Amino acid sequence: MKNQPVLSLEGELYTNFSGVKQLFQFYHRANEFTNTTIYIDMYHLSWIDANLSSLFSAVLFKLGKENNLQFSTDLTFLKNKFDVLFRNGFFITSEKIPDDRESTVVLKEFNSDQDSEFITYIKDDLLNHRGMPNFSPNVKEGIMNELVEVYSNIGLHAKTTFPFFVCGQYYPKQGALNFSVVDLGVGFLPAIKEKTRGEVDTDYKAIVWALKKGHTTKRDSPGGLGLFNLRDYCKKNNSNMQIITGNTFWSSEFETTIFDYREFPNPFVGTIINLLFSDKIR
Amino acid sequence: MTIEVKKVLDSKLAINASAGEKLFKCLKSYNRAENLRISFLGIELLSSAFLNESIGKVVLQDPDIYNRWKFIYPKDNSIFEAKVEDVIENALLGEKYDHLIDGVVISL
Repeated sequence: MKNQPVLSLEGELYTNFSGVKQLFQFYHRANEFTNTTIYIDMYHLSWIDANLSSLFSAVLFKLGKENNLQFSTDLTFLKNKFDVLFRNGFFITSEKIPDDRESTVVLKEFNSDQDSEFITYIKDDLLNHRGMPNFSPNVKEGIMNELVEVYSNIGLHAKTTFPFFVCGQYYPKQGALNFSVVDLGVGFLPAIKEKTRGEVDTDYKAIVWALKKGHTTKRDSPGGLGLFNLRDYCKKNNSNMQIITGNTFWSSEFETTIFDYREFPNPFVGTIINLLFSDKIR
Repeated sequence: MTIEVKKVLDSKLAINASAGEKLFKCLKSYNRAENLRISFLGIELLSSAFLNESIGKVVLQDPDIYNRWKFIYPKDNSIFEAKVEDVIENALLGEKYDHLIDGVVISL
């Protein structure tokens, strides 16, 4: 490892502002290097929400493509400490590690023209997962429809040829299923700023604008119901939604707090949508 | 005249905008005075993006046309009807809605 740059991830990475911020900071530290192999030190990482594998993968993908970076780490150590990252496919070794706890929704990447592959993944890997026994058929149908909305929004608005990344994790003790969708596109603001002729000029205003029923940046056809419906669905079903775009982290959980949003000092690209489902849904 | 969306798309998935364009072209090929039945039978999934690019776009250009349309939905899927109604309502509000939203944006 002589002269090999080392970057560490430490502490806890939950699906919240702090967890996402750490991964953004990792990206910016790594972005200072090109044409080398970076060693990722995870010895002092005490927890990672496995659904954040989608964001971590997106970060590594972008660094690989744009900076010609490769990455190494201590797989033996991580197999003992975070075997979930092997069970969900984030780390791939010659020996496939089965998801015997059946709690992962495997990490995948898709392009926006892979309709049937994405639908099959949602049906087989997410909705029919043995870790989701308490969701009724009606609720599963609702989740499927809303994820279709997210998928079609990426194709319509992300403006990128890079794939998008998805991953989920079921937490049986909390009765929670987290699902993260990450694209490497342009984010919400540019198109919305143009559509509103500069009236919407911050990432937070862009999120608020995008969440309003009927809002779209498309010029010759109506639009804008996907995110509105998704937020409405989450509200009605004891679930939460996070949108991260530009420098802003917004969560539906903020609606009962003093926060409207939080800002990242070092933002990433694209958009992240985290869905935090509760199996208290009936 | 019945338009079967599944046949137009040659797919059970009515999800992306490019599929919406196919249905849009199909709808535009008919005389606007003709009564049409638009059938979603056999369609498994339907997105707002698809509907906006197809039905919504036609209604935006010709608001009265939907009065001559009748929709046929799968019996076991109530979400489709809600989405179609939302998209049409959104398209009909059109410019008036833009002005309302401009007012909201200023207040942000």
